[in-house]
Amino acid sequence: MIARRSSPHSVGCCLDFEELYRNHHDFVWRTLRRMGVGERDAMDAGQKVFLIAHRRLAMFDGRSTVKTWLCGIALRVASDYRRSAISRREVLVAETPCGNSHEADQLQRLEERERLAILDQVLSEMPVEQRAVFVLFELEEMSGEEIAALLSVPEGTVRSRLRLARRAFSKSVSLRQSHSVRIAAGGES
Amino acid sequence: MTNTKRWLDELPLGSGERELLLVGKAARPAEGAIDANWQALCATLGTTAISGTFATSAAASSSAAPAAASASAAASAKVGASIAVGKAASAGLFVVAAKSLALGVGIGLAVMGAATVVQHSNRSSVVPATATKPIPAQPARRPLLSAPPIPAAAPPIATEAAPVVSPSGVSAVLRAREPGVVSNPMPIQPAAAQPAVAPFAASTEERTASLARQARELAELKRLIDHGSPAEALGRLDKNFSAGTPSVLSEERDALYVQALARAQRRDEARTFARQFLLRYPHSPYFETMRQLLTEE
Repeated sequence: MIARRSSPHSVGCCLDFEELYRNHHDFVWRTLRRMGVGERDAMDAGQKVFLIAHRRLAMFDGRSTVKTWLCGIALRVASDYRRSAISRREVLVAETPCGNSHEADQLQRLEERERLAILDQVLSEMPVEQRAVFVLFELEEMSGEEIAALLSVPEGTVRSRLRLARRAFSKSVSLRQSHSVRIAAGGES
Repeated sequence: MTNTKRWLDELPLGSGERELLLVGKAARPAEGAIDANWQALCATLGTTAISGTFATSAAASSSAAPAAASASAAASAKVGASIAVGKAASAGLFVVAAKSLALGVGIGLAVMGAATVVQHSNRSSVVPATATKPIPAQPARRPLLSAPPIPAAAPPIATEAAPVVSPSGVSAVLRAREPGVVSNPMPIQPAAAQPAVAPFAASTEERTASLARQARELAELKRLIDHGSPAEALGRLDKNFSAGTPSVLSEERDALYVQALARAQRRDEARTFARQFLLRYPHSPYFETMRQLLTEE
């Protein structure tokens, strides 16, 4: 267990960076993606997260888990990304399923991609504070305490943001569903 | 908060929310991305710097060091101590470990001291924080893959916390520091030095004609590669790169370059450029081709 040590300082010095990287790569990538980093840029942004982590490893004090610590860095990188002009160009990029997989696999991948695109659209409609709480609690299964510590807010605030985020999520999904139903009905008539 | 349940546990089966949450939880980066990213990190930081477990005492002193000590100096301290601990652990010799550790800490502190002096003497210069060694100036010979940038492929990410990465992103750093490149080091091209691309300046007809011409050229290159003339294809591509001709088909052109290298039996270069290709175009249709090139013996 490399995530938490009893020593109040210099815990990061005991961590194997490659292990840290491999254990948390997917988590960092997912967090970046769900926090608005475009698919094409997620790799560069992920590298930035780990570059920062590598530089700051000696300063990691073990008061949070490694996952929480990395998450903090990822949220900041994602925030910078959203502020930059890149995000405005991201929509122009068309994704192509890759590989030599069978048609059925590709269809399934396409469906997953579509759902992920919808998920990202729904999340992008939320205020960023609610979005962060929602992503970390519902998708990454972090605890309320961890999220509160990470965002430097009281647990009650995390709870209320989560409640609002769920409501917004449901509303957005319902709207999309009813819109789809209307389109389907119009297409048939 | 501890008693708040996950929404997934409460949502009815088949609900739209549930489906989206499930797909969100299961999302993973593209196959091979983790290794490609790791290689890029190693290239950026220097393999030694991240290949071992960091030593406690050295980094404790690093973390306690004043702010004047740069992060790069701290990293150097950790590298020295890391090598020491790695050696000691494998040999099981604690005495050697202690001596090596002391040596590592010594080297680290010396580097930190030097870095502090350098910082004081030259505060105005920007020092890349994670660079463990300076990037050597490379003669500009082949601007492969760095030629006309795709807008969203390697974008600048403005991060106050990370002044490490050059304006053209991690991929550009990688391009300059790829350890495998021996015969064809690729230079970082400053953004200003690249040809100005004005995609909307030309008329639609001109752009269509240009696109058709580029497609024809690529088809011709593909034919050359497939019919046993990869050297000629490479020559043409080199000419294309040195002309700095912007191309909307740069992804295809770069992929052809890697394939031509492979066909020309220049395997090492092909692998190096394939790695860079994967970083630059992580979701390319050529992803699998490049990955196979990297994995085959």
